[in-house]
Amino acid sequence: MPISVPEDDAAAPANASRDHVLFRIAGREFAVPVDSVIEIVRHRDATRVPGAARTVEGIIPLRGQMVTLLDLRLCLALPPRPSGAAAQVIVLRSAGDRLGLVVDGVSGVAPLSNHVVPLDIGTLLQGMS
Amino acid sequence: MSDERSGRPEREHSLREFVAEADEILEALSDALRDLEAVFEAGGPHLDLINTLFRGAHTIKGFAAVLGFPEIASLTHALEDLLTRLRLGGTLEGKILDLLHDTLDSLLGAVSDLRSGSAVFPALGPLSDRLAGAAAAIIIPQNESPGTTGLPERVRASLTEYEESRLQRCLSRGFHLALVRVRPDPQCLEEDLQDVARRVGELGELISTLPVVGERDDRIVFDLLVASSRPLSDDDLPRAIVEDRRLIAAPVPVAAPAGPSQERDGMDAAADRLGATLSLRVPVARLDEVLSQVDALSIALASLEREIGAVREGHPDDHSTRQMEPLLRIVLARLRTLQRGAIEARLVPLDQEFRKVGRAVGRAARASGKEIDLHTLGADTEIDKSVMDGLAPPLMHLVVNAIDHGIESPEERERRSKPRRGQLVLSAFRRGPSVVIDVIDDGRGIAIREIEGAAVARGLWPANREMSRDEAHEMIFRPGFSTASRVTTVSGRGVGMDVVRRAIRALKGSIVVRSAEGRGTTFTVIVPISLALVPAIVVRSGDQRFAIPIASIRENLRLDGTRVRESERGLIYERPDGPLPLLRLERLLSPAGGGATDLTTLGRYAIVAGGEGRKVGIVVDGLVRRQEVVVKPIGRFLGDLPGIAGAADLGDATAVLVLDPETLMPGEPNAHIGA
Repeated sequence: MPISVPEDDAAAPANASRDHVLFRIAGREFAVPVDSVIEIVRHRDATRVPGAARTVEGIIPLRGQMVTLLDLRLCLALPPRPSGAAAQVIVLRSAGDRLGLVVDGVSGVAPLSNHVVPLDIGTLLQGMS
Repeated sequence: MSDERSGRPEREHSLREFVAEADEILEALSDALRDLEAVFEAGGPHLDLINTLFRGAHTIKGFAAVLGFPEIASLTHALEDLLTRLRLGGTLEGKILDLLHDTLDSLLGAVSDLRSGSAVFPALGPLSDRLAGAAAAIIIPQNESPGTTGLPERVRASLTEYEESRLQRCLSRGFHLALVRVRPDPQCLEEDLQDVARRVGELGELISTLPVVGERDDRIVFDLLVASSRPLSDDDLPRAIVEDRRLIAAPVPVAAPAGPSQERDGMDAAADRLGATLSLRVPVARLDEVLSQVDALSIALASLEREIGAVREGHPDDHSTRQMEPLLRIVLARLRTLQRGAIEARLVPLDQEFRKVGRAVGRAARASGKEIDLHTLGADTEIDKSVMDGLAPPLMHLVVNAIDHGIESPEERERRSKPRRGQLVLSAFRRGPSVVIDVIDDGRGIAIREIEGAAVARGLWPANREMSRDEAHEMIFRPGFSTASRVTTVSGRGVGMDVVRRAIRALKGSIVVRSAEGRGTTFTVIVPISLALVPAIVVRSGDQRFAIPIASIRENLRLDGTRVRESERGLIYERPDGPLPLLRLERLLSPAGGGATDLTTLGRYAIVAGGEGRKVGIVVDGLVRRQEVVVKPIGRFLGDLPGIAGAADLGDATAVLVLDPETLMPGEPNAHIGA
């Protein structure tokens, strides 16, 4: 079912000159605006939730709130992560809830550059149906 | 409150908010005014009641000003002025009481007009003028203690009870009192004020910070009421922002106190006179913050416990590690107590709600022409504030329902040889982790044939089938049965019993009804005392764990495989008192999983949960332990999940789904359940 996402930090349109958190998935580099990022944690197994979209790994508790983990490889139609490979989670705030993006690794914080693909979280969330 | 999109929706919201707040306050003021009349006739002291009226007027003025109702704000401002003069010792007279009644009536009328959608109400200007005239005519005796005559009236009247008691206390200790006007830089308002507060704190006490409504809008001006042990000098406060300093009172030589006990008695008496209270208003959010810190601590301790256990396993003979466990247990016990304390801080007595209901009963009875006696029991039973807030609307509806439809008119009651006055009982008591609330009336009861007829007419019941009493009692809760389009005069809107039941279920509670035709009806509502910490059983199913709230558990069964059979709706367990649908939790997670059920892999236990005739046996492989869990919302990205109340952190950094057995349906885990 489509989820309507209110205009909020995570879904704000990308502004190239703002700082972004850069991260890698399958050898490619992506970015999300730093304003909406709360923290970056090590990936751990998530609890599966019945009826969730297949791009949702599950939920993990973090600092008293539940974080929904989104498997970005599935979202972006990239090949699955090799077993045993390390992964990290970028935790975003989104209208009071917490969304966690599962990525291979985080590179750093910088303004956007040409080879980096900015992610539109709003579109990702709409695709979670 | 400015908003580019603002217009009607914003305005309507303000209106609703104002009406809701004003209603409640005006009710309280009606009570206070009635009491004031009684006390005035008896010739007794009435300062407390004047104070109550003042605070109410002050609050309404604030709401009216902020939410955009200037006429009401002006009227309540004039009322405030009149009450201020009475507070300061002016004499109350009969014609002032009449004026207060008129004012209250006008306010009630204005709010009622607003509520029914008309934006215009009779002009309040003339009434404001009358109030101003009456206020000017009141003489205030100049017999205040010498220490406070210099204090401007408006400042004195704006002090809260607590501030007044602090003021008296400082004066009686021989402090100097000064009124300092400051004009801080708007760019660093907080810092400037904090700086001043700190400096004052070194010299004495900052009693009050009062914003001044000034002529110029570019800067915000404050009057600070400062009590100091020595007279203030120019260097004491930052010169840049101090505009004016006025000495109000120098200490009056006081006779040496006879002893510490006498001084204490004097101060206590002063506190009593001013009505200083022993309680504080605390925003609920602040308590929630404390509670969430305690939860975080609990999780950290659970991790510590695990680590200590692991260390102990590795070094079973080591003495110091052996010491750790009992120490940890002490810490956990103290934490438990702290957790309970934080939860109990949010508990409020049901009394508030019962009194509100009491007022509504009077109105409802008059509106429907019935005579009702209301009895309340157990008003001091405590319940979590948010549970009470959620309970208020359904409870009110049950009571109004009992008056509108349950209790008969006085004539009909006499015809049935019943006492003319109908009896309504509201009772509450605590039972374990729950509060049980009964709404009892001695009215006509639930007429089965009538219900049957209405149900057939609405297509909810086959015409040729006889309805049992239990079925009739269940039918009234069905959506579509209640005539939601009907509007009762009291509640102002039609609300069906299905909405009542859903509201109570949202609080993780339940409602049942017992009734005898012609004799009366009892609705029993059971809600948990607190939603924060839920006692639950952690269970294992496959490789996942789940938590099931104990409040939903009826019994635990050891499954006998021979009694399990398949049906088109899933597995059924044969029991002497009827078949029990079984639910396999792993099906919950992968509903499409598997064709034929392999009964050999069926779990060993079934937790029988649910109520009100909708029992289900949740099959599990094992019971892990009993634990109190804090149920957190899963997050909006996952939509609405029937059967899941939320998720909890058990202390090992993984989330465990907390089930809501009331909304689980075996065999159709994704179906949405109707009432």
